[in-house]
Amino acid sequence: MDRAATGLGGGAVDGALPVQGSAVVPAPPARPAAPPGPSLAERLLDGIAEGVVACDAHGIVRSANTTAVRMLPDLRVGELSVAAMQVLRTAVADAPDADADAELALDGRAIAVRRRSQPGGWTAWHLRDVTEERARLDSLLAERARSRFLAAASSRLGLSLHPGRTARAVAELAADELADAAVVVLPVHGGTVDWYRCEHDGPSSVGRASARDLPGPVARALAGLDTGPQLLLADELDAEPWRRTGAGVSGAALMALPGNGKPAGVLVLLRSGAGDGATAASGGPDVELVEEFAQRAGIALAAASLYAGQARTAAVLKRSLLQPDLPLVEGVALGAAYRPAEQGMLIGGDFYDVHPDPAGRGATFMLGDVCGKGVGAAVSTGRLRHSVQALRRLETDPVRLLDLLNDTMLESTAADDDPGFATVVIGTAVPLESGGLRLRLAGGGHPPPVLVRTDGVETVEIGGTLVGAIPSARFRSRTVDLAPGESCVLYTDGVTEARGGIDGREEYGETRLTDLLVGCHVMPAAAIAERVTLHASRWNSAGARDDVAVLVVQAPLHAAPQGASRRHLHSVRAAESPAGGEEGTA
Amino acid sequence: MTAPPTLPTRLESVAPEFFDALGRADEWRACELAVGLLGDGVHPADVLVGLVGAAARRIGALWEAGEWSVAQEHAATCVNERVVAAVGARIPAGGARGSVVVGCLDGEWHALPARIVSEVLRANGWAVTFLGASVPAEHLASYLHQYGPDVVALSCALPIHLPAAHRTIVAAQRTGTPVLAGGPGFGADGRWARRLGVDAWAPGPVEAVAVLDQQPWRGAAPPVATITAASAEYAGLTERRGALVGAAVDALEGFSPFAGPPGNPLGSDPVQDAGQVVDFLGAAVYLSDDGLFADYLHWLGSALGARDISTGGLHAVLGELAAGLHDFPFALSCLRQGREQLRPGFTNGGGER
Repeated sequence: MDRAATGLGGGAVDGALPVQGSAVVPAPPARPAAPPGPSLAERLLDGIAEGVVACDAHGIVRSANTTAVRMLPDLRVGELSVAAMQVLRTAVADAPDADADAELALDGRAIAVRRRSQPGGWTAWHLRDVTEERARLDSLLAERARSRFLAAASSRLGLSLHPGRTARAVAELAADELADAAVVVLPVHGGTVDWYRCEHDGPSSVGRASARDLPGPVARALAGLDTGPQLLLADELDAEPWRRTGAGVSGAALMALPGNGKPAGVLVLLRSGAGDGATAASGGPDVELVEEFAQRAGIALAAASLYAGQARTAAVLKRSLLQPDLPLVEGVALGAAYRPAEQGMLIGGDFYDVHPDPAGRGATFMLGDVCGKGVGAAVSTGRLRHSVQALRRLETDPVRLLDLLNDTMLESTAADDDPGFATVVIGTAVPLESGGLRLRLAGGGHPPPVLVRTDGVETVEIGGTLVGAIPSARFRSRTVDLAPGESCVLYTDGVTEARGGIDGREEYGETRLTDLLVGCHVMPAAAIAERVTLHASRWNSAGARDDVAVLVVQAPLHAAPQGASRRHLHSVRAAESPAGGEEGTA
Repeated sequence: MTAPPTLPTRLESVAPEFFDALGRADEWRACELAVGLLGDGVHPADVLVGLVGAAARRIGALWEAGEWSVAQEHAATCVNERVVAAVGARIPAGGARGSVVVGCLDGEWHALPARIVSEVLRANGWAVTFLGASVPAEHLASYLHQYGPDVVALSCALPIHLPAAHRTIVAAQRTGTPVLAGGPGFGADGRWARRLGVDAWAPGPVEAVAVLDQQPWRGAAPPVATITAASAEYAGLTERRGALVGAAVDALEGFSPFAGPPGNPLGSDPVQDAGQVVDFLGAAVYLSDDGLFADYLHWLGSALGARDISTGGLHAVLGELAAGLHDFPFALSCLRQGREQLRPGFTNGGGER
């Protein structure tokens, strides 16, 4: 300190500083005498943390405070100090103006340099040590990037409950932030594993591999034997899905994704280490970050796998309760539409079914509504439909079929507490020689079917009591003939009791339904069924819906050509039923 | 849907008889003709777009011109759907390119375009599941969670469903599934699709194939509170919907604004017909796009004109709406611009639906 102070001495500069000396150092009014040694201005400058250097027009250093000398030990006042000054001049060499700001590294410290031109051709240099400041900012930015990545990961991983899509999201997130390519391997299932690979900013791919071909570390991590980060050797990286691409993958780290009790998968991070051995060796971006990401990914994958298991069970149980595909019956055209009250469910308390006559003479059909809604009601409809399927082998007459059904339901409801009564229309359709259809309709407390005739519509009042409610129920039947093109429309009360209108409380009603069906004799059965459901649903403006089922039995207007392939009519229905679509891997 | 520039001549020769079969609702003959084309080596996509799609547009035009009744239109459309299924049954199951779920928006019952898209995508190697008409958002979301397809494609024929479309799109994106939107309901240039934040838009089935092939379909970014885009007026309008429809029906003394000579009405139910006008206004307000409502009235005006139905009833409805919405500046400007569309002789080459 002393040495620096004396080095600075000489007093030659005092007062000669062209800088606003008087402004920087206001003359102390009360002090009579100036202190000896270095001038007041210099002593004040020595006391600040910023380095200050002044050079004259010839580049000779005229003043340098203690901090400046500490930063640049070669600096000498009164000399050119070429070596020291060159460091500063190089830092601002690119600046277009005389006044410039730059940053340079000196002995591992970050120094902010500011050059300002002064009157008389002099130059002032201000040097500030910003090492700590930069470090704080860098770590703040890094921390912010980490939390941003983890937050983005959390919100994206929480989106899907599908294991495949979740695994893909994990691979994409990891490939974008943590590696040059990432692979997620899902747990072993039936001797194979599903994997999802994604390149950094690139495409993704999926595949399935045999569990026996997995590299040892991957297999051990999947089995839950290794839980921490592991390394994969180069010779283990020759097979899909961790094959090296392009520049070549020099190394790979892997980490088990913790799940419920056992790993929910394994994350493999591939790094192309070309010319950057340090990154690969150090294990990549940040082991802590990878571990934290793995935690979140594991939770998401475990939740998705849990949901998939439950959904699979529910789908299997639900399958028997879904409305059936309509069979193809010679001489009978059929159409149906179904819209359950609980929209995500596809099942409800309304039902329909059609069974072709084993002898090939027409069909038995039915449509009904068990009391209640949702899953409970759906289970009741399943029982009822299966009862009818069995009973009709013993009895084809609709009225006696209803009698048998009534007894069966009463017996089964006695066993459990389920009230389980229903309104049903059961009918038989037999093609006539003339090309029309003869229907026998038997009803149990159900809204009357509507006949769509060429010259208008009529309702068929059948009457009858609820099915499954009382032992001595009475059922009646009606017989009607349909000419070619004419239809019989069966519907549940979800149609006529749909609430809408101006105040949202008005019922759709039978009159609107019959008005709607006028002129519909030109339409195919399926179009009529859809039209009824459509209008009832549109009417139903006010939130709460009821189940809606519509079954249309029609005497075909256009006979099917002999020997025509009829299977295409099936695919319409099959495509509509999601459960009939692609199946998750079991 | 745009037809390919050159149809195979075989297709052109069949088209008249095919349309005749649709008009008679003869599904056997229609299916036979379409499937016969496949046998002759015509690509399924050409049959679906060039024959079925072209017929669908013609059906719409005949109905709009008042030459066909609603029942005739429904019957022909239904047969057309059967033809799509028949052609689809002869397309081998795809799957190599990925999986797509196709569905119509909640309340959207025009399933034919979505069915055509499904089969065209299948013919191009995609595994396709068609969820049918009017898929509720909850149902779609639970399906997406369960089956995790690569993309969900949503079809919208009428802009009236756009507020519901927004709910469905957000629900799908919340499952991490990218959404491809299509159909004229999203605007001729897809501008409303983009407004609602879909991941991609395609005007027709052929374009949908191209879009699906281009996109990498990587991680859909989670939706960012796009719900706030809804205009503040929309909530108020929805609340008042019942009262507005009631006032309109009262003003017409129970008649439909679209009622004309007996046997030739556009719609039939006064409440639903007046409700449609209110819902189109609602969609315009929701998207803050007065052009949407103007396009609708332009189209409606020409449909009424084709049936010799006076626009007096419609004017009365618009008047009632203006009175009931006196404190809704944007809705009022929609109504004002809409009336312009109904002036005799006014043409602006407006929206074709």
